[in-house]
Amino acid sequence: MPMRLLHAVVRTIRNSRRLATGLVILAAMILVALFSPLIIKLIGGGTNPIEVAAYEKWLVPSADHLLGTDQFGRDVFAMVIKALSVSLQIGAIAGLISTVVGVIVAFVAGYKGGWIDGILSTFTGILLVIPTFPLLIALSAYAKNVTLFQVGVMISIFAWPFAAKTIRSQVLSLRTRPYVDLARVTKARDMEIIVTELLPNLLPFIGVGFASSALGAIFGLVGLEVIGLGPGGVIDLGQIIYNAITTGALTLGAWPMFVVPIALLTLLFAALNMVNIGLEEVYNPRLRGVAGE
Amino acid sequence: MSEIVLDIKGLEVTYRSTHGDVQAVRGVDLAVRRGEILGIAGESGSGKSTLAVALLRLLKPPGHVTGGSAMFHPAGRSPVDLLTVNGEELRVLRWSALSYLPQGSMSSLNPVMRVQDQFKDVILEHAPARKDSLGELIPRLLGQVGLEPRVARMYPHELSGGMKQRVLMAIAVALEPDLVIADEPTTALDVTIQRVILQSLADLRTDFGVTLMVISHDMGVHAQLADRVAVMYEGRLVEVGDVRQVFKDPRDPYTRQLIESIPRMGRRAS
Amino acid sequence: MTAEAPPVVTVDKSQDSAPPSGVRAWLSRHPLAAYAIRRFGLYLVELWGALTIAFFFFRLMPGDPVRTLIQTLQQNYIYNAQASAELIARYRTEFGLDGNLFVQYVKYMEKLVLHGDMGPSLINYPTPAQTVILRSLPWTIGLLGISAVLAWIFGVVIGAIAGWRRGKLGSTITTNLAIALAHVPFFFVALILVYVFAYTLGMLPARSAYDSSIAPGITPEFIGSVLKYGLLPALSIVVIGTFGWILSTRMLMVPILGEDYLVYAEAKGLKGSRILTRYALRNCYLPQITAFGISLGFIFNGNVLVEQLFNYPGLGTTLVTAIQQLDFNTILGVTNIAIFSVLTAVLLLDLLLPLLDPRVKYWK
Repeated sequence: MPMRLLHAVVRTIRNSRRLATGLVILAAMILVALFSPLIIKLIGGGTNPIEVAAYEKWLVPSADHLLGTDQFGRDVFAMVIKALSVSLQIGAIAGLISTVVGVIVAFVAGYKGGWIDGILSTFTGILLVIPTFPLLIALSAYAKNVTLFQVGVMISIFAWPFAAKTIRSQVLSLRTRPYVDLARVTKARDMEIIVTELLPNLLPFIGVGFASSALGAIFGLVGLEVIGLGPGGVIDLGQIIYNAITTGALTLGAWPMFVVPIALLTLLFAALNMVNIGLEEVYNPRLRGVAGE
Repeated sequence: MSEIVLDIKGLEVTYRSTHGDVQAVRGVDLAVRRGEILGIAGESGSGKSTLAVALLRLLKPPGHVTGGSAMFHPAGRSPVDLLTVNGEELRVLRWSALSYLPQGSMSSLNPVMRVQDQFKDVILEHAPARKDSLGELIPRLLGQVGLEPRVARMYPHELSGGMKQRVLMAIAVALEPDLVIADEPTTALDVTIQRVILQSLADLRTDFGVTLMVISHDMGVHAQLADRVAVMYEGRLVEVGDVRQVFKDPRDPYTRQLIESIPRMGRRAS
Repeated sequence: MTAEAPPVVTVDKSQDSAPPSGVRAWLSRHPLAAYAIRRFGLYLVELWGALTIAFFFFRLMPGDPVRTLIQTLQQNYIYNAQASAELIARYRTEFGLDGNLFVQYVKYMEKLVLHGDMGPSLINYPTPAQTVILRSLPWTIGLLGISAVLAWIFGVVIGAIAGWRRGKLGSTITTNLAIALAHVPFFFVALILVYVFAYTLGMLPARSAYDSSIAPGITPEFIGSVLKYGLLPALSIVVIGTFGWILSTRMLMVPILGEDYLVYAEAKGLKGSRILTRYALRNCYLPQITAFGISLGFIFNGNVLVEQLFNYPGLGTTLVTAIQQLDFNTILGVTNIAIFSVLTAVLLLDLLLPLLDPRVKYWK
């Protein structure tokens, strides 16, 4: 059974170059994040390159410091590596929480239907339509000294509707399939139907939900960071950008300080989006049939 | 023997896939005579629809024409090979000489355009001179297929399946083409409407003198409508002949099976 | 001619058979009005729901907003360290923070709905929050409104063409570029644009909304200045917004290209450009109108950071300033105005749609 599942996954990936590209980029970034302590050690060569005053301030990029140093004399390249792993962690934490909440809401709403669906869908719809960023920045302004995990939870409050919406529409379309009716007629319990019939068919869409929530979460954290409201004590890519703006890297011409984090985040957003669209193209025959690419 | 409108020779269509090629039409030779209704019969997968789509040049990849010719002789124009004519030449030929009558249950009508606009665009494209007579022409065409003039102002979603089929029929003959290829014109309609539609199709021939090529899996349709019938099986033409003759004395065993599969009135199961 | 004329099919006139009376009858005779009323009712529910969510969200936030508020107030305006209990009580009343949560909620909603009163602001005490907000609102509506509409138009047109010409090199490049950039924050582009055009080339201003040496008014100089200062922030929203719409329009377009009515249009021998505009584009821009309304909230989110970067005097900058000072009423006020604007825009678009799309089922 696990072998068959693995086989299906491999076949799916081979069917879509887009999905494969996105996954490869993501995997490469996760690898860099996993080995980030080692990489940072290598960059430092004995000293800690992200310690304050490790080197001279505002060094221009050179062979020693590929991206130069910042206002505290820290190696920007090492900081970017460190920050990438923090950004990925936030994406993973918030993506996971949002997906779980989204799946639960979607299943309850889509499977039960009726007035429960009405209320949950209206609520999800409101959260999707209204501008929630003011709420998020207000929350982080009042909640001082939070950990990375708590930030993840905070961001999930606003990221789960993305997952819920994607998955609910799939639950609705699956709910009317004959084999689900059959299971109902044969008096299987709701949980049994959900676990054995619905869940396996929804996996790709849960993947889409995860990718879009993770994307929204990283997006949200970057937003918080660039107005100086991120969690204290950790450096993520958004915070490096914030530092670049507030310390005058723009006027000093220290472009690596903001261009490199922006490029990395753009690559990350692109990879997540490729996974999203790749999965949709594989599982939506209407998109696949005439895609012609 | 009357004049030939379309002369198909050795037509081959192949669907290419990574798992190998599949030949859907295998060397079909067939002539269509001016003014006749030619039925193409066969079960699903026999290649009859692929044949129609290939002649209309609407074949989409992975389908490819891999051989043969289809010389088309429109009145007052020089003959062309439908399988190789391209670009502007093909576009101009369409509808004014070669038109298409799809299945009404398909969403062939643009859902966001009024019926009259779907007449207008094709008429103005190929016969701009008729611009001033449109106000009279469209109700007349609709009347020809038994529809009220006010249908012109309606949207497709306001029409029933039978009404859509009639609208499509009226559009098909709007420019008095040399040949109309009808793909399953009665499928998915209920039986009473089917008969009315078949009657209307027969009337169109009488009134407009159009030549019709009717693709249908339903031998009953051919019995009622066609002059001649061609039977396809696994991409090949197994039998062509006068409809009465084919029904009375089918030469091919497959044709016999098809005919025997028609449910008949008054033949009670004992 | 055949002897038998085909029977004339009559148009189905359903529901007209038994004429009912009263309001129900009137509504069934005026489906568009019924739809409008129902949609407006939903709007009121959504608006009430969203404002309520926002209110309780702020009031239930960790930390003590009352204390923070009074502390900030003391730091900013009253220089003696200790405020008397009497003073605190007065501020509580003034800022609508006395009584239990429910009483506060009822009072806030009553003031907001009946008087448009959002309570005093802190960043500009004692100016009411709504005055501060209304001052910045036109800038955001101008910047965001124009950029969002432009992005939509560019994106839908380019996306439709990209879908139409799928498989061609230009389309493939555009599509992949859109996939890569559709979800990038506007802010990133803004930062790069500022660095290149303002700091490095010195061609365009990096901050503010107009040249402060020009007196505001309907003069060519002032309008020219506003356009010049608005160019970079608008461009950053338009660029990313366009890519977003390209992507979603292309995703809508590809299935449409397989629709029977496109095959039929091709068989009709219509010109390619006509099939693209009258058949393909017409069917895919309609759902994008609804999508436009839904996207406005998201665009507002991204716009906050852009305004902040350019110090543009709109809602976003007001919001960030208010948050830095923990100005409760202004933060909630900006949130509520944004909610109101977005929901109203969605309502108007939904009411417009049946006039554009004959298929919308407004009867029920």
